[in-house]
Amino acid sequence: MKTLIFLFSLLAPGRIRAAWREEWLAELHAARRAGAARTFRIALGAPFDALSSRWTTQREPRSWWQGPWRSDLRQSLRGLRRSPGHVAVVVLCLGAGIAVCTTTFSLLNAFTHGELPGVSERAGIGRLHLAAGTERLPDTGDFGDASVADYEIMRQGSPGFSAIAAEGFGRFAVRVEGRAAMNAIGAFVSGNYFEVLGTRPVLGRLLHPSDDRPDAPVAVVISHAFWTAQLGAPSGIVGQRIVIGGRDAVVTGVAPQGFGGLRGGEMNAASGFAVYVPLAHAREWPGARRADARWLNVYGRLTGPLERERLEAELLPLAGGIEARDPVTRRNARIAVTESWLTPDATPTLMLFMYALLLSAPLTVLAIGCANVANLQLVRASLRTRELAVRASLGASRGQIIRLLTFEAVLLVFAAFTTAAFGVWVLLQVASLVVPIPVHIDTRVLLFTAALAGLVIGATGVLPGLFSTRSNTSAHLRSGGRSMATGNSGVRRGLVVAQVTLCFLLLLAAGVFTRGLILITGQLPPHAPHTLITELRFDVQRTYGPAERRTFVDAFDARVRADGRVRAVAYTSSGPFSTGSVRVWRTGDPPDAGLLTDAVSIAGDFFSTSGVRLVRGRALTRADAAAPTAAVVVVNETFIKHFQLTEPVLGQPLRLSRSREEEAAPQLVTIVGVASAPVSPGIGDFQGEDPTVYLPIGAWPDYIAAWISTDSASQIADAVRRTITDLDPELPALAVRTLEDYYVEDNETLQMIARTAGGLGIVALLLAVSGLYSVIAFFVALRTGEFGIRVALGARSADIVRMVLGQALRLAGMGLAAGAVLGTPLLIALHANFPLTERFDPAVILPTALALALTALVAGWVPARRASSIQASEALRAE
Amino acid sequence: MGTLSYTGLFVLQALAQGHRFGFDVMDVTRLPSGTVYPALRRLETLGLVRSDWETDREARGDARPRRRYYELTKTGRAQLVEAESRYRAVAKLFPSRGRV
Repeated sequence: MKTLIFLFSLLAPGRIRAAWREEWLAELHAARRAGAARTFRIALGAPFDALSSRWTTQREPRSWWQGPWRSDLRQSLRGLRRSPGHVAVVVLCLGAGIAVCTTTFSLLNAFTHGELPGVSERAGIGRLHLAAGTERLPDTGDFGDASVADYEIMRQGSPGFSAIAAEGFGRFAVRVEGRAAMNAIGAFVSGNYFEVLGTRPVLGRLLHPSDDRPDAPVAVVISHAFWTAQLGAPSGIVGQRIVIGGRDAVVTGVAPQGFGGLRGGEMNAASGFAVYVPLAHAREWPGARRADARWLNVYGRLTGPLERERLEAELLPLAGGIEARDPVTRRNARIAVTESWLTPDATPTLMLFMYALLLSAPLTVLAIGCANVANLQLVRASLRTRELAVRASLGASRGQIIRLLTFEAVLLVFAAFTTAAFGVWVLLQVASLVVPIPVHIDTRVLLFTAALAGLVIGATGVLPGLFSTRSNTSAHLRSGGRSMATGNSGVRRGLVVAQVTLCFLLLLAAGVFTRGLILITGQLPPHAPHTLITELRFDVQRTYGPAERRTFVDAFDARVRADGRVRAVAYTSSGPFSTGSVRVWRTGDPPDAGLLTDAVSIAGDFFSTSGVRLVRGRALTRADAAAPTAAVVVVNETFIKHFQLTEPVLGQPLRLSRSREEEAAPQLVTIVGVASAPVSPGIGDFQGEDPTVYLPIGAWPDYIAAWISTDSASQIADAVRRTITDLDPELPALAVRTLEDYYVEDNETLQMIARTAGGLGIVALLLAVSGLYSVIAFFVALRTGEFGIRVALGARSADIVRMVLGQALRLAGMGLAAGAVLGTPLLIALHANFPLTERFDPAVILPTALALALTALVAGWVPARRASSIQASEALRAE
Repeated sequence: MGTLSYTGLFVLQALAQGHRFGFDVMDVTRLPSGTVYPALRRLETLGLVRSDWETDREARGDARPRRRYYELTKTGRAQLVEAESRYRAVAKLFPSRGRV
């Protein structure tokens, strides 16, 4: 039996084996009285016990993980679990700050350096900018696009580029068999365009240099979105014949999904290029631009690194060639090279300023979050002074206490980091719905901001512990942890004041944009929803000469006016937010002192549809329009004021030229009417706001905006589309929208800024409120005894509430005062760039200050109520 | 405590009744040794029982190897009271030997 037990003991852990053997021998000895058979059966249980003792006996620490670290970690977790509110606020504050910052940086990075769909190695592409026609050598602000003739010289290339390509905006009427004519935004591109961008087709092939010849048949590449959304993704699209701009063409291939050239950052999927046509056909295309018009973006594939000075020196011979071709308009020609998303006037200082401007709001949120966390951590450190003193007096070394605090800090940072990473993921998912390019999390920024958060948590969580363990433990024990609490209260008050200040600034900025939006919405002219505007573009069709255009407009006018719901119809030569320009001379002005002013050609009932009223004189009539040249004009009130016309204005002669060529012999016109000047809300300039001359439309131009005044805009819109298609199935119906839609579109940027600033402002407000709350709540906890004594001495609860709220309001007041000082330059700067409201608009400042003061009251109210309910006996027990 | 099984409860009960070493517990509970000893080890790890070896002198007096005696800890006793109130029949399972 002894042998059996010996053998079984080998299964037990070595260090308890001897004792185990002794125990079992004793047990079997006791069992002997039950008989040999039972003893043997009992002995059979020994191996189970030996094995189970392996798992149930305490093991000695084998690694660092099983040593004191583990218990420290457990204690840290227990400590954090005891204050879930503190953990939640710290994690959320830092998580929100890190997430907002990282998302903004990631988006910015994607726009400037990220990969664009269908473009390979974006960093290896440079953009070439041409400056020419200046009296002196051009400076950074003179550079711009190139003409077709300029590009033909530039494409000869230099050693710094393997190939140079060009791309220019175009509008195309596209008709695919079996479908209605469509209007497509597209681009004329050079034959090597797709090669320079490194683009691979989804179907078929992209354009080749052999397609880019005037005598080559028209080959067209269509975008993925056009292929799927407009054409329904037919598989046999490659090789299909289509009519584009009145010409027969063949679709050679489909560009990759999301491809928007190098301007992906500026475009969204809806307005991206739909068709790509070889540049060689541009000269003969309907509505072709003048030969010297500069409308091409030029890009080159770099053979080496982008060293501006070297590349520009290499391009000097080409610039010389451009100047030699046209010594007048291309005088002092120079070519500058930048990254594909930059312009030559983007100096490093300017870029830094732009980055700082874009990132100021998210960085403010991070700063408020950090200040909040610092505050909460300091409060917690104060409250724990006594606990740490107890630990020290029970024999914990400083190292152990620091280790405990460090573990807590690391756990908090980890939780904040995880929350932030999740937040960034969510925000980027939302952003991907509106951003046309892929955006990846910028891990460097995530790690940097997390390190910053770690620094804040570490400095405010570990350092106070370090100092408190260095000083007198017994004093801390006696003081009940309050000496430390009062020790850093100044720092905490300062942090709260800083938070309120930053929050005030952010809310002020949000307020300016929100107020601007409200003003715009409130100021929309009453006729805006009832005025329908449709564009008629004849430059996409080669068949429309001046006579055909007149016939078309007359037929269109008759059909639209026949509809009983239409009150009036007018036509202008430019859209609601654009104008042409003319040069005018008053009587006695010398030939070189012509005044440049806005001009709009009008026809029909312009003064009863556009919101511009006729104040004096008469409107322009059909007879005026039928005259071969404009002999009469209407000017607006701003024109009279700006150019100081003397009375009587009506009947006064002006000389007027529409182009440089006409300046030698300006045309004589007479003012027959004076129009009001509408004040347009928003940042876009509405037509007629500045000094403007209204001329009768003579020959109908390529572009006409038709204004239709009606009470049933939505029904009329469909009728108008049908009318255009009925009159000419080849002519695509462009957007038919109300004037209100134009205003909304014009202010989309403003809306986005207002929403972003408002959202960040609310996050900042919440963070500041929680900071204020924590400090007031802490003061109340600290002064429990004092309040109890006050109550015992006869203070009413209203007095206590007043005291606590007073403290909250004092802190908020100090923050607001600091905010007023810093807010003044902010408001001035905002007004200079966005003149939406008055510079110091009380409607922005007062509600913002009031909102902050109110939230300070709310933040103080809860602790104040708690303080007022303190009983004297309770307070004495707390002592 | 969720970790206390019926076996654990029987063993605790037996120890509380004054059955102080393994064989005795097996004897009174009629549980096999392969059940009782692992249960004792587990209860010890949980801090419900503690063990002590009898002195050499006592063992030599009876001419046998030293015995390992088990007894309930304070937690063990509280746990047993709590368990007995839930499983009332358990208290009547074994004859009491009287507390030592």
